[in-house]
Amino acid sequence: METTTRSASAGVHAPGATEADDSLRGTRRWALALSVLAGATVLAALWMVFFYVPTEAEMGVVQRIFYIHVPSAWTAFMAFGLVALCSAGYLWLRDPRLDAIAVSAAELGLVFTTLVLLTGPLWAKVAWGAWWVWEPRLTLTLLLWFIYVGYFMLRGAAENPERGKRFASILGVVGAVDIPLIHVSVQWWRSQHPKPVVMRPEGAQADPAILQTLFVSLFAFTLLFFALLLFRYGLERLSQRVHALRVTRELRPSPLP
Amino acid sequence: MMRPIRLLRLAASIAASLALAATPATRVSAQDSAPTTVAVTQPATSGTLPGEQAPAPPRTLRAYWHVFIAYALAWLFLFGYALSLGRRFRNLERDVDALRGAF
Repeated sequence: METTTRSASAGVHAPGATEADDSLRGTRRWALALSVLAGATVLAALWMVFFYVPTEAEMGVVQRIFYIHVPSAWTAFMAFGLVALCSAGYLWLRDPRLDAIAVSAAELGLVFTTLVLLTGPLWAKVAWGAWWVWEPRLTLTLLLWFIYVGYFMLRGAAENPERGKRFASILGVVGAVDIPLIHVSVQWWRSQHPKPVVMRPEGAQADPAILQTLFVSLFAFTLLFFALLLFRYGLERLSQRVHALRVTRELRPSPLP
Repeated sequence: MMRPIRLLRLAASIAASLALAATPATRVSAQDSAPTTVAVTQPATSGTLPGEQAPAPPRTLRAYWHVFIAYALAWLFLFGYALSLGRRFRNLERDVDALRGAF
């Protein structure tokens, strides 16, 4: 709002500024609405985790880490899936909005994978007696984290930003191959990681209260992801606009002395 | 194509990753694991037969601490990330204002 008033007072609009302002305001409104909804769902999920769900019979209280670890993993996979889709779209259509969604989702995917890699060892230390074991699922998840760190390094390291975006998009598509591998790793290879309790061919195998709490947590994290994604997307579009304004200013003929 | 400093940074990161990967793997045998170790192949299940007494879940202080740290760390991390988004937004809006003033 403030930026529009100021630019209007300056008398001249940068090309497409008002449409972009409207679009940015719309994104921010949606992000705020989703944040409120996500906040309420997160509070409900936390209440269920600490006051509703019974303590699991075999693992005890440490099993409650499951309600933050699994939704973080789900959100990270969703984020990297979105990166792959939008990166493929960007390589095909060269639409900067697709690149903005891809880079926003990649950053959020990294945030949620970091949560997976932080909460997992806290559970493992109690359940397995070790913070980290080089077994297939853990190793592939760490690899996923490194792949998307590489995605940002590629974007930043290229002299030509467009080229950097293209290279990163290719990595965004190829890197997503790791996601199904992580999912099947516990079945294909000898793995110490617990096998799925919900996505099983025979159906979910857990107490109904455990499943309800898990689904509410998954829903809360999904809403949180989309709220943060909209904020991050708005930020990326603003960054693209700053870049465009800088280029326009540099191309403007300088006044004669 | 790439600046030398960035290339060096990339090489350092790869070296650090390889060094991390080269450390001897921690293998947990049945004897090594803590008494709180449970059957990890079938977690989060309530698979107790009727009339059969389920083994008492491990309620060690360490387990409570780990749950507390996991939740505190996760929410602090997410909150910090949301704050960083807000700060980056303000900085970019300031840049847009400054650049528009130049038109």
